[in-house]
Amino acid sequence: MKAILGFLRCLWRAEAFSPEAFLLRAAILASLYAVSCAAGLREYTTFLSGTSPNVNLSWQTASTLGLIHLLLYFSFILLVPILLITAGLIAAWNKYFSRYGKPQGRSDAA
Amino acid sequence: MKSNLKGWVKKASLALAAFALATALWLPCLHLFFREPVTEFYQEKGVSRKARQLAARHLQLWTDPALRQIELQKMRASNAEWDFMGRTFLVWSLVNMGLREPAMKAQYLPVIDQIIQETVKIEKQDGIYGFLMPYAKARPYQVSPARSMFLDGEIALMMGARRMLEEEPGYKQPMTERLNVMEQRMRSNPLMAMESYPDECWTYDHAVALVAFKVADRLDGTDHTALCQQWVAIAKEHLVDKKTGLLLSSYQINGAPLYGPEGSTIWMVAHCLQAVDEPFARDQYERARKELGRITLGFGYGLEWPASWQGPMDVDSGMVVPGLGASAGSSGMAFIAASSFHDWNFLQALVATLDMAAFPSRQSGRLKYCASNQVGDAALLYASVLGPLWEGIRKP
Repeated sequence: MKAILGFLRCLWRAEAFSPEAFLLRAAILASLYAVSCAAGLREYTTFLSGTSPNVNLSWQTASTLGLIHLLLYFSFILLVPILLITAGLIAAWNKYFSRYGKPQGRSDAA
Repeated sequence: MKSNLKGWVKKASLALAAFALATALWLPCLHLFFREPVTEFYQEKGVSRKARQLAARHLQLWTDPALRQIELQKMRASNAEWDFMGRTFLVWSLVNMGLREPAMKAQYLPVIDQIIQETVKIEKQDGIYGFLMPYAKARPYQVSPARSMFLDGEIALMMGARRMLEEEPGYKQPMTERLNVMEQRMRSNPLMAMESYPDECWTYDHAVALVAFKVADRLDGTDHTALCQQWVAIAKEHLVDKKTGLLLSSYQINGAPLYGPEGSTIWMVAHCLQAVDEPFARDQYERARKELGRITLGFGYGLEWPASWQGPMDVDSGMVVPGLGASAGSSGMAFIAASSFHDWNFLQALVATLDMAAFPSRQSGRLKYCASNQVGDAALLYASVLGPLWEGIRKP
């Protein structure tokens, strides 16, 4: 538990363009998507077919809920992996230069 | 201060380059997570896993009145046509499934009969306007009494398809009556055009009607070959868009074009023409595939309009993805054409898009697509099982 909290603290304090910051963004998006799934917002994406998702709810409200889920879903399948790969690439770059040359990404953090 | 800024710019540039590289790496790989063998969706023999799951969901809707009421309320709130088309696609699907698996006929026939009888009952109670969009009442039909080829053609084909699965004498007369009305109206118009909406004739509805005539020929020994050939000849001469060679979607009863070749129409038209004039149908499919079918990064979709035609996005096109031009209506109908013409590469790419963007939801072996609706799912079900009915019509 302590290790997890320590890791989260490290993520939270990471500088904007560090690998940790990209991991944090990915984690936030994935968590928001998980919350949206748990809340059942997926059902509201039927607004995409021009159908009222819930006859007891106004079209605007239901569509907004569907749109939120849609954006979070596409963030999850598009942005989250891209952010993770970005974090990996920056980490690899930093490691390479810390070993063979002047470190680039974490020079100020050291 | 200057050194700080320089360091920040350097790190930002590195991050931006890494982000761009990550995007370039990820986007071409994404479809691999949604790609599956085409047999998961469509099988030449038997019924695919997805088809079975989609059918289970629809059968549940028609055996649970409360659930059905909720679904129909949702759809009718947007478009009464969808309620009607959801019924017809489901009947045609169940017929194809019954022909694929004769042992399941006993389960499908009661549902098919229930759908047909309830549909005819609603039409009797509310008249033709019960299943049409409200603008149908805005002006009178050019030919009276008012009849809609949209309803007559699809109901006749529902009845005929049911009889192809197992003969039911009770459907012969009402089917013949509808066919006679359509034949008489087609023959009395120089372009063989019959209205679906006031002064609005749809190629889609004519193509469905032609298949209904072919079914009658098979079942009742009539011969509408000349009628069908004549319509195809007229269509080739007067109803084709010169730039694309594709059939127009709708026109006035005097032949004046209303809508050009739209995806939500032409895919289904090509499928129906396959039962009437195979070479012309294939020509239309290949043109539609070139003008309207797209595969981007492994994901397939349909455009509503070809590049050479400016048309509106409406209830038929459904939601359109900005930038790509992917239309929900056209993409849904593209499944039917791709299955029909065995275009496995396109079908596989379409299924990848479906699984990626339509939010599949499985519960107890039942499948629905959350981003779709009952008619959308019924059309997908139809795309996944079509074949045997058309084969039955065409066999010598």
